[in-house]
Amino acid sequence: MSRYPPRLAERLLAAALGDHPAAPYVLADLREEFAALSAAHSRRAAWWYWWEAIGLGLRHALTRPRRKASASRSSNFGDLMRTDFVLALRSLTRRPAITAAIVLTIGGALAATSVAFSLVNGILLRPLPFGTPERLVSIWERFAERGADKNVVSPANYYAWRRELKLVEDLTAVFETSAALTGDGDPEQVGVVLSAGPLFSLLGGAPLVGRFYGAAEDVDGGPAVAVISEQLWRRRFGADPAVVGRTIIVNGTKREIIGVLPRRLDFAPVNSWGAVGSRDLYLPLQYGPAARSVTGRFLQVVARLAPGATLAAAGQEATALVDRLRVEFPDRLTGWGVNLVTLRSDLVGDVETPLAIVFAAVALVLLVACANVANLLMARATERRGELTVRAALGASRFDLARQVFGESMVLALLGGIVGVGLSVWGIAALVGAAPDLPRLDQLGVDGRLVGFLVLGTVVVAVAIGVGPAVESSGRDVGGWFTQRGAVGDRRANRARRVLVGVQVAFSLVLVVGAGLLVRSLANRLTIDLGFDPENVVTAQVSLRGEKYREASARGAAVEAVLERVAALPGIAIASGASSVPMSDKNQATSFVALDRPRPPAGQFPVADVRFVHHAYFAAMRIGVREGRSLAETDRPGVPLVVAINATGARQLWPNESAIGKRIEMEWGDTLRAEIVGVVDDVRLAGPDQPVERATLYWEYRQLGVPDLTLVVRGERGVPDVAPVRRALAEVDPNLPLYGVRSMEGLRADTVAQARFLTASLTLFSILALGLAALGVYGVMAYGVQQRSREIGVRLALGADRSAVVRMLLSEGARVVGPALAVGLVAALLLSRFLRGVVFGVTATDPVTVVGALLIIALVALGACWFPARRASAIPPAEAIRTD
Amino acid sequence: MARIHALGDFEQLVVLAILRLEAKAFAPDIRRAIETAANRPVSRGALYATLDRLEAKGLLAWRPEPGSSVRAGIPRRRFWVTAAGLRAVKRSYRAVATLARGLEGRLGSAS
Repeated sequence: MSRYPPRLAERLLAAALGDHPAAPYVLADLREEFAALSAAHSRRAAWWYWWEAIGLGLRHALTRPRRKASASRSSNFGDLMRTDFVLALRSLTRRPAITAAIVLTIGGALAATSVAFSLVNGILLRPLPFGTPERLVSIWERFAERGADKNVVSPANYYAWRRELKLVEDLTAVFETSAALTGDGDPEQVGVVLSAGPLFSLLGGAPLVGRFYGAAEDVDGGPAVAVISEQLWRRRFGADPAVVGRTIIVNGTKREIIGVLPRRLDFAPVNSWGAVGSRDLYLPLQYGPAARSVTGRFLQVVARLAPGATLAAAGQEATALVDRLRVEFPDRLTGWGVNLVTLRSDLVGDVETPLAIVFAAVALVLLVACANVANLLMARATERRGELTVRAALGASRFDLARQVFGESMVLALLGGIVGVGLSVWGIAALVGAAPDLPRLDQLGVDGRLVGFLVLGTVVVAVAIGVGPAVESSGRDVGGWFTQRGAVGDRRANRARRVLVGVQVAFSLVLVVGAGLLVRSLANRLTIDLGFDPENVVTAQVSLRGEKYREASARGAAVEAVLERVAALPGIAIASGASSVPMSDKNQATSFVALDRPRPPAGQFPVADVRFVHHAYFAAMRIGVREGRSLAETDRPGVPLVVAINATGARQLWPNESAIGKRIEMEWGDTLRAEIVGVVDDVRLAGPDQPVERATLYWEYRQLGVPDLTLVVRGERGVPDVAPVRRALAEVDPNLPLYGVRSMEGLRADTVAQARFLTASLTLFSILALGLAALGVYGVMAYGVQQRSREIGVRLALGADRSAVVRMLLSEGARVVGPALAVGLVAALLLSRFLRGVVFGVTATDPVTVVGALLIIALVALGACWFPARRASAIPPAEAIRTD
Repeated sequence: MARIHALGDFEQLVVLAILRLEAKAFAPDIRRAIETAANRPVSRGALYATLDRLEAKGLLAWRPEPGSSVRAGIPRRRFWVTAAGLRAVKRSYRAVATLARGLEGRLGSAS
């Protein structure tokens, strides 16, 4: 580590010490102490130095200039600043309550803004942790007609691209799944990334231990190797550097560990099947020639743009290649194109809008807070006109007065900024715990950009709150105050304060409208009929892979045995299973044909979501059977295949007749043909936001058996405990881990988690803004009433009705609030367009919400006017007239 | 007769520490000596301000001595107590000792 202290801290300290004769010795002493400390604790030494520099600097600044400030008017700018700073501090500490309120308001608003900025910064702005992140791209297949912009890629297409594309390099295909890890400790289900191509050179970076596998090992019959994650290495192998060469058993197959991937290079594929949420094993796909020509689509393809290549050029090259291939392979490519996007947009694309909304909302709160504080300061400047006028009379220039008032604003902003830093460090930590599953959340933290943002924010606040009062106090002419008591200046200041209050009211309206729209959207999301009943259902995943479960019949038998045991447990109503459950991020879909219809041309087959379910699934999920029958016990292996279809699918294919008895054909490894025996209710598979737009086909699990199954267990009362289910599974096969345990309610909560987060943030911010605005309105009204108390007294003495006085003052308030509401309404209607992507079940200009928000603000403003008006009307006339 | 200054509590500690450290009376060492003896943290700001003040009153003086290379040629200040300083601390100490006489039982061992 460096023997020299942090340069910035040292410079700041030197500046604070100024021309003090002992300054060089003090700095040198500190340097020496720093060198001694940093030899022992290099990290702590820097903190120590900063702490000492701030302490010494502040002490010096606060104790020294007192002598100097009074001594003479110095022309040195640094001294001038210091004098202003000390004067401001003294003036502010004379009114500790107001100062504390202002500092907390600024600090709170700055902290909220910087927490929001840290989200935007950490998730959207900071580069990905991989090598040359700006050149990483995802390459998707695209089927424009079906609205599939980012479709996963077939091996056949991937290997064709890898051979032909020149403008991208390190073309890699990945696929996430999970596997049972046994041998050396408890069996556990771990996340697995299967990769073809140079994944590791794409990510860029070195292994913690050992080496990565390369292209030579990614061949059919290549060595059984594995790269493990840093987490697994620490968790299961105690971070043993000699882990390389050890053998692990993955789904019953021995593999040799060759290296450890550092945590920061963890790559989460977007496509997954049976994933467990974290990734612990990286295995080469090792496809042979047959597997490389598979046309089913399931891979995510990532690559790096070649040096000098642009995204557009690479996209054109890929499109040209697919156009050429389509001529050769019309079957698999008719209707399909290709879509290149940056990897960054893939990883953070979904959250860009919500984050931008949160950030904008917070910025509005900050503006409202600034307007509020500026208002307070202007009121104070008016109060202090006596003091300022005397200063002016004694020879202070207008600039001197403005500088003094502005100095106070600067100090307030600075103190607010310091409070803001503390609050935001705390807020970021709290946020990481509370926020929904956002990408890259673990990368949040304080960095240079955030510090820069805070500094900028503080400066903006200082200017925003300081300019008004400074101008206000500089404009006073000396004679005016003594002769006319500053009536002209007062009118101007009052106008400025009304505008500031208007700004607060208008921005609050914008926020309340936004929050109202989101609250209604969330309510809609929570109450919409999903097509099944998520209450009292627990789900858990089990993966039937390895030698023992090669045959579908073995899988079927095992599942049957487990479900029988689970169903017999006390408190269990129904036990069933499905290849995936709604809202679980797992989806499988493919094209199919109705056999009684003319066969559509290639590329125009209808597409269905596909589920393999145990026959009790509909009962367990309470999905209604509309027509025909449910799948049944009698639909066993060996008897003709049957299938159930959802209502939307049945209506689309057979609009005017019953779907029951119709036959369909679908490719799923083999060609499957089956008769439709039932039509069931539509289920929103991807959660409340996704309407049902296409067919869902439910096949009987036992007839076809897929390796990954989600158990669906409905309790008689409450969500069932999963421990007995785990025991039942262990009785059937102790080597099968049960993982991914989730209640259906929990899965539903996840799908609205982002909406909930956004709604809660905006509601909180709008309440804050509304509270500040109410205070602002109250302040201006109370001040106005105080100023006019003599007039009010005269009116009352002349026999004016008290309620007339209240009405007059309220209409005064309405003249401030009314135009602000009009402006706010226009702004709200213009800005609510940006909420279009996140509202649900309401339009972004929903009249009910807008009118409701107007009413809320109007009521709050009325309340804020009412109290000062009441008080004024209650004053005895004689007393009011006496009041100066 | 030269004017005798009254010393504050902290000033006494500083002067005594300098007397005790003799040839090693550099600011960081003075601070450490006081911290050890008084068993409380001493801020550098307070120490440097006190050294300045005592020097201005003529109770302390210093002379430059070469320091390590990180100081970039700036010498270390080796402090010593002037005759006036010694008189001042003697007077303060005598006052304390006089007042403490007879209270040994209640004050406990001075070490």
